[in-house]
Amino acid sequence: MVNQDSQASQVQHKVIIKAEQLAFRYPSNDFPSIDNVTVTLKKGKCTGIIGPNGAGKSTLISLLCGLLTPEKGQLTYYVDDESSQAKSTLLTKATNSQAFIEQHIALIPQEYAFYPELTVKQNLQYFIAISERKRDKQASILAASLAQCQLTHVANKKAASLSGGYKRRLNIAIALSKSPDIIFLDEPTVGIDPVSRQEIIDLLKTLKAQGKSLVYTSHMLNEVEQLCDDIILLEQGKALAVSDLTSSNMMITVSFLAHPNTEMLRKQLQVLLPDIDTAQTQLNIKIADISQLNAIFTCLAQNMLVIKQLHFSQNSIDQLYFSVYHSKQATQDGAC
Amino acid sequence: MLIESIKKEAIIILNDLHSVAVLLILPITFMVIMTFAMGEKQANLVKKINVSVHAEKSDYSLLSLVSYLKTSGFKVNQEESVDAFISIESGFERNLLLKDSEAQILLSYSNELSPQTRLMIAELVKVSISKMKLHAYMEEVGDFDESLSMAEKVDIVNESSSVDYLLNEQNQDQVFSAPTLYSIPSWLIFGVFFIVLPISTTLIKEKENGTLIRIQTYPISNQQYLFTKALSYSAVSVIQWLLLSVVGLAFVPWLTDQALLVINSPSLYLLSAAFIIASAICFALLIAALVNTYEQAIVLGGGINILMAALSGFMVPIDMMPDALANIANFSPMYWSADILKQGLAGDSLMQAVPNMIKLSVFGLGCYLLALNLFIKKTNKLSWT
Repeated sequence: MVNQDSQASQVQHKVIIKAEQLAFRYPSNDFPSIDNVTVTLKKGKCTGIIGPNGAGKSTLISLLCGLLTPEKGQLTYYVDDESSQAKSTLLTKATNSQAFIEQHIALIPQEYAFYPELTVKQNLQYFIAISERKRDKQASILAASLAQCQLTHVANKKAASLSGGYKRRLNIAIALSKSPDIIFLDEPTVGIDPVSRQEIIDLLKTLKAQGKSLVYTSHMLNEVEQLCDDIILLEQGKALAVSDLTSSNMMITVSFLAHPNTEMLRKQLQVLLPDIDTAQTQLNIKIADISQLNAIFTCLAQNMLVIKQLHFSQNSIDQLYFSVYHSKQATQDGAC
Repeated sequence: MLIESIKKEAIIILNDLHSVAVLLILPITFMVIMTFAMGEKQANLVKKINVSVHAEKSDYSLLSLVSYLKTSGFKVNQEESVDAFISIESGFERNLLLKDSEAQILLSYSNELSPQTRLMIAELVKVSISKMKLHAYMEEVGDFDESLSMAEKVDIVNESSSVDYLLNEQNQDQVFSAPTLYSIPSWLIFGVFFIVLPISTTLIKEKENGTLIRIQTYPISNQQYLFTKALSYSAVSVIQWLLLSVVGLAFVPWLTDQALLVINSPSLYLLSAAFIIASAICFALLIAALVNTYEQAIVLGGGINILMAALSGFMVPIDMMPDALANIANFSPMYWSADILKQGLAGDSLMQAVPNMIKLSVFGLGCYLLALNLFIKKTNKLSWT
């Protein structure tokens, strides 16, 4: 699956995993669990994978982190080696996918994937011992992992006796003790109080700022919105939408007094922004960049438009989720 | 990594009371109970049996049978629950010396008696009738002085029919005469094979809580992981073995008032321990790789162990089993294990233990390879849930 040749990819945020037209079908299923999905994971970015239960989120993650082998498609891992350091925007293709997974990927399952009978410290010691064979390094990794997840004061407590929030932190600390570049998280805030939840979100934001790539699945769409830069909306194994949340979610609604030539105005604005919706006394303009505002208002002023009301809104992930999902349902109903 | 793994598995087992019970308390309890049971002498058993003897009329034959039954050790006609009933028909005394007489004595038993006890009662009643026959003969030929009482005549018959001085029973003082030799090694091995439950439950937990998936992204292959698990549990089994050996060899004989077991060949004993532990761990790994739920682990792991123990003569000694059943024992790893362990205790040579050691090695290796194959297949199917 991983190409042997050394090739660089030129993107603003370095691409660390590129999956093209992945397809996978479980032997017991008649339909594909993942159908032609293309995903690009970037260094220092968080990608959210959302969708209803059974949409294929878990299968997609299992494919991306090498737990399952795709039937079709291309999965490429990129490493940040010395040659790629020389050119800051380039990474090199990994030659050994298993070694890449072992060295760069960590999983944080939704379940508490540790040993409740052991203390926090013993749990970390065990997992560190598997990933780092040098004993002199193990102690410093342990201390760093405990500190990063604010677990130092409960290090000698049995994991079973921890509160839900601390158990979630331990789940994360074990993953971090591996010093991964890419972390796959499955609903890491389920069942905990709002304060602990926000602390975990903040920790994940810090990790992102440190250059870690996160892949986040959750049904808590507000969390996905807070944390993720890109989202993939899955339904029945297909990617219904792939969206860049940082650039495509601002909407301006301009309400104005009746204008003699709305059609001409619409044409002029469409030159600036193709994605525009015009009603009799209202313009709905979707913008990718705040800098586009100047050109829009200049155009409105030139057409002597009398503005009654201006409304700025962020397209929420909820709107995206429900609009895509409902349009899909409507298409299916129509087909029936 | 190995030290951390051993530490992890040991802590998990110590935190699980069920595992401690299965690995230590269960075998110790069986050691004590079975040593007590096997240590009971026949004389003590006979003393507990109450025989009710009845005749149509109270004649000489009734008196003599009661006397001989009493000298065999039975309680006769006591006012308590009756274990065996003997009914003497009229004319019995007249027919006693005839060759082809019809049955004159009816023997029946309480439903609560085991077949073994019934057999023992029948044999002792036959001995008593034989003595009665000798008694009648001596009366007929005039061997008894007419002035002798019944009790004195019974003493003379007992003395005349005694064969004890003709028999020289060998090996009475040797280790094989001790009931502990049969119960302690057997239940020690039984306990060691029960490592199947902690291994299975840990592996199921690891699958269920995502730990096994998490480990898939670590620089440890499935082969290494299973091998480390095998080594970790072997270390746990060694500790279990040492504890059970101390309790079994020293404490249980003291508690049950039996002869102390001495390890006559310490090197063979230790070598046996290594073979037994290794094969038990491999068998446990196979079951652990096979099962998907705790219930399956208990039914399959526990069930097979109990079946193996029964077939290996741990519950009913092999020499008391019918031939067909006794032959099956030859195919049981627990039987091979018990055999080499007894050889270590008795001080046999290494060569005598080699055949069973080879059998255990083949069994262990086969189980391990199957377990590895199953484990890899199952972990390859693991996906994020």
